[in-house]
Amino acid sequence: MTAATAAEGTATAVGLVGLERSFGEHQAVKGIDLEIRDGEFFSLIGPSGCGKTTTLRMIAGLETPSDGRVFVHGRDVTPTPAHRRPVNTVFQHFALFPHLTVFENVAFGLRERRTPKAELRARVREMLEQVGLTGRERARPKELSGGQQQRVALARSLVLQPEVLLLDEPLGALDLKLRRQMQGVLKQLQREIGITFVYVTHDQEEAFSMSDRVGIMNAGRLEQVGAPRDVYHRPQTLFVADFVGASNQIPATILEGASASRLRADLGSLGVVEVPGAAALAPGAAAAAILRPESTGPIGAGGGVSLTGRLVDVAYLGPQVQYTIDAAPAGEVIVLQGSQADEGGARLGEECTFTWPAGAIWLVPA
Amino acid sequence: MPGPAAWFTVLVFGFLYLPIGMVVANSFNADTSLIGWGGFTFKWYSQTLSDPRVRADFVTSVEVALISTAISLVIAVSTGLWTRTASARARRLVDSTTYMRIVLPEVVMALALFLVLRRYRVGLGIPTIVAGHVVFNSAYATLIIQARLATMTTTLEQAASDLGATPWRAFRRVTLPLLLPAIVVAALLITSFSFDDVVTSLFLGGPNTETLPVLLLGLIRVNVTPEVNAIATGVTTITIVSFMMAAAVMTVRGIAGGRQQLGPAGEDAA
Repeated sequence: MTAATAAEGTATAVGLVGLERSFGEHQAVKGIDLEIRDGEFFSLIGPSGCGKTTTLRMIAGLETPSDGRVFVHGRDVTPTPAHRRPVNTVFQHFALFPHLTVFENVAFGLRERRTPKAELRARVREMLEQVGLTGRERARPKELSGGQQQRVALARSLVLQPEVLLLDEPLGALDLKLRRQMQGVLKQLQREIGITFVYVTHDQEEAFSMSDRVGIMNAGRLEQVGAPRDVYHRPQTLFVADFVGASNQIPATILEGASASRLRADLGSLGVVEVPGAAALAPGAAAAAILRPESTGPIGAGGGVSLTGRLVDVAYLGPQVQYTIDAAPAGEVIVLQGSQADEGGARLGEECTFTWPAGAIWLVPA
Repeated sequence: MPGPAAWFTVLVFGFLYLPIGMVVANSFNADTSLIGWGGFTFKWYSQTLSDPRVRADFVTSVEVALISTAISLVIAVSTGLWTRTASARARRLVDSTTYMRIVLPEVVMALALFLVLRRYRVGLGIPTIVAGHVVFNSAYATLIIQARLATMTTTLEQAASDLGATPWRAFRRVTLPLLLPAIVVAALLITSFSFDDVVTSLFLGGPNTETLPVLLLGLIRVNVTPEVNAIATGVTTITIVSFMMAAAVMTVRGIAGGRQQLGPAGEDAA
């Protein structure tokens, strides 16, 4: 599958076929098929323990699959040990060599390849300049700040010009401000050098802001792969809808579901809607209507949903205000609206009504 | 005004160190009978140093110490690295053999080894003394190496292998340098243990091989000569220096272990 399809269209940088990994009784990765395109910024996201790091380590060769194959640019590298794979890893806590200087940390891989002295020096210097660490060559890792250590880890891998760079929660150890800053650095670096990045994180926002495509993992399985916008607006499963953003779920029963682009569903007290969804569903099937908190708007000719309930909480988030309304029997519903300088009208305990146009509603199988 | 506790402390220290001080002082005492102070002299040292038996035994002691230390370190490092990835049960088993080698009375182990060697008609000599010293020295070294390894994760070796280092190269360039301070401390410590050992050396040396402490034991049975004091002072000095070096390495451990401090100037020997 992988090698064959790689020839047509965009080339595949990393191909995973039926990848599995068990630790004793525990199955951490339960059969993953995935193609990561050449030159793309791909993120694997999911809650902790979902198997994303194990998957990354199997691509690196640091973990042996129980079953399945790993391809890098069409070559089967499953039996290849880590030190002979054309991929490099940026580890979660940097894993810099404490007994070596910044220069020697970055030169580590080049020395293993017996790179001639002059070339080695030139490449290390160039790399350090690229990540903004010129002048810190003789420093030890522990003398550097977290952000600087992060950049040494990056330089150490990138100087080897890997075919694929693997990043295992590389920003996890940094504070929020530095995280945002490093996200920009990473994205820019990736664009400049054009290497495929495979990025593992549990932070959905971080993944969305940097990635061309994301894969969402849950309990050892890949639930959905797609562009961030696709995944956010057209989740294929309830888990994905829930993971990629706070969403309101209204239980629904399918009335007519021959085509995924037009499903008729009964939302109980909220009436009957005709909206698109994840898949064609049989009449009578249980589903959930996803109402994005930020997608409220006037109901147009296409129909929609109107929810009335008591306002139980107002949270001011800066750019947005989050309203929580108790809309029994539908349950608590969250609504996000742009914030204004002067206080809005609604007060706690008051009845209020929010509406979602049909285009803002999405059905997923429950 | 010092209280009774202070006086007691002085008493204890006196009891501990006065005899050693006497030995050191008498090694410079010109009075042959050692009854009084006959003036300062280096005579006993020059006599001792020119004694062929003392010289031969000194060489034997050094040989035994160095060889048994080297073998013990290899065993300790291998055991330490292995226990990191071993199953909990296997690890418990190996750890208990390590503790056993320290806890069991030395005289019992030496005797047991002696009986086994005699049963199989193995000739006694330097190799058998070395074997005897390795039994306990490798156990002490293993404990020290394991303590250091417990503070290191395997992530650094994984990083090395990710960057293209073979398992051996990862060991050479990452694990070994980080382990070096512990190896040096262990080496100095067990060298001194080996150098002043009497029991094992006596049992496993046989009639033709003796170390310096064994010679001392033989000499005092006959008569405490001034040379005995000179030899004892020599052995003490070597042991103390070795111990102090171990202590010094332990305190500068943070700084030690720095190898390959090459800068961008590239004055490297690689």
